[in-house]
Amino acid sequence: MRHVAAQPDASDHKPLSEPVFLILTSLAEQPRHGYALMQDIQEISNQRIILSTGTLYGALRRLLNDGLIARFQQPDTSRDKQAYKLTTEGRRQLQVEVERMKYLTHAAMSRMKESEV
Amino acid sequence: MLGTYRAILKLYPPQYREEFGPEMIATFMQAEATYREKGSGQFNFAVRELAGLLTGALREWLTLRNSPDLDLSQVELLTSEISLPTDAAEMHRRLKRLIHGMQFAIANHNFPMARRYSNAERILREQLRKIETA
Repeated sequence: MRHVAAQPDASDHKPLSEPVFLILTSLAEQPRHGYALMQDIQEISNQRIILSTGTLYGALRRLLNDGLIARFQQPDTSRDKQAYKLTTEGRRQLQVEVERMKYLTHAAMSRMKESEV
Repeated sequence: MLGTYRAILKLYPPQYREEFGPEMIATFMQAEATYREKGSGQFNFAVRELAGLLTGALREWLTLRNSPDLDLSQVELLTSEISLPTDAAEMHRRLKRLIHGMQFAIANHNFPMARRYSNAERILREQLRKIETA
């Protein structure tokens, strides 16, 4: 018999792309500016994902428009070094995505177990 | 390399360049300095950056081109007192539509319309702040 966990409610949620997921994950810890984001994402992904500035700022623009992140004013930085932080909605979307991934991982693992039996 | 970067950056829509250009250049210079210090991976870095910039410019123009140009009545409906939503998710969806509309209006040099979008966006953001701090 298959064990299927309750699917998380994601009625208004589209799966996040990997760069977007990594940006939100990085900002979940603390606000960061562009270069710090690039370095942290490289570290989180175990050097697998290296974002270019074009990809990074394209994703940041979309996240700003969607209200998932906001600019964060740091007192000692110039206009050329803006920091970004996660909004309440951004944290919620990240949480929904994590739940979605957990659900899929659980489903995959339980089916692999079944096929071993 | 920086000269090439600046040249390709000019392919982006003007409002995008104004908003992110100086920051992108500063981030690029930091990253380039790190690779120079390391003394390896500079070629891959250059290829990745230039490819990322070119595809980024194309994507930004396509986003602008595909943005819905809302008419005035729709803009007013989005911010009218009667229809103001009380949940943040719906508010973010409306903001997104307004921002796309504003970018589209600016790209088409329709500045009176862009001002309307901008005012509507301000009203929605105020409402959103109230909801999020409540």
